[in-house]
Amino acid sequence: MRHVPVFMKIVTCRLSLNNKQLRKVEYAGSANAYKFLLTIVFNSTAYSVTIKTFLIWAMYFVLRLLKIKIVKNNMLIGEKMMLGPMSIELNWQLVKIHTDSPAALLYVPENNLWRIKPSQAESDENMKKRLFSMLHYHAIYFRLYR
Amino acid sequence: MKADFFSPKQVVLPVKYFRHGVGMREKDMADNFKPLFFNNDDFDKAYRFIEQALKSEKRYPNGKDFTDEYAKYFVQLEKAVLK
Repeated sequence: MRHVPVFMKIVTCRLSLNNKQLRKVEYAGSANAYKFLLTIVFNSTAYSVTIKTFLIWAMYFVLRLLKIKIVKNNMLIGEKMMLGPMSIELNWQLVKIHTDSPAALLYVPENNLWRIKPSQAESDENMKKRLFSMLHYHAIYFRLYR
Repeated sequence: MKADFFSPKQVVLPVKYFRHGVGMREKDMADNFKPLFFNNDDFDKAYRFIEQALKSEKRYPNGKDFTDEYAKYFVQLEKAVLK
């Protein structure tokens, strides 16, 4: 089983969600629920340390049994693809990008102008500026990949 | 050794990705890069600018992982391409 990072492939995400072959969707909401339960257990004075430890392990195994993956700010989508007689399982990993994250700059239209093919030959200066934007965009893209 | 943990096709730049390094992709293999330019002359020019930037930036940065290093190196290339 291999996790393929997708990051901003919103179209891919939508396609996968509409796909009838979609097997399971697991999302970060489960992580919040787990954190919430942990907070209750840790803050409670009613239980001893042994009982608290037992409860935490019990919660962990229940989540494992329910096949809920705890991944912060990630969405994992399992997809079953049929390639002829072969069945291939793909696990897409989508990372949530916060609006205040530097990676959100990838969505700013001004940072994507380099994608537009010019209608005439470019001067050296303009081309260098466009290459600068291109490299800058990909520098941000690789930071997002991490 | 060539980096195989992400899809280089997602990145339009004519660059090959290695573990702890990047290099120029062959001109005829830069399929995603070529359509961004008005004509072949402009494509050649852009290819040359990136090649020159890559040659001038010989110091390859250290990072937490390969993609961190790529990000840092691309920042160096940004500056080099404007020279």
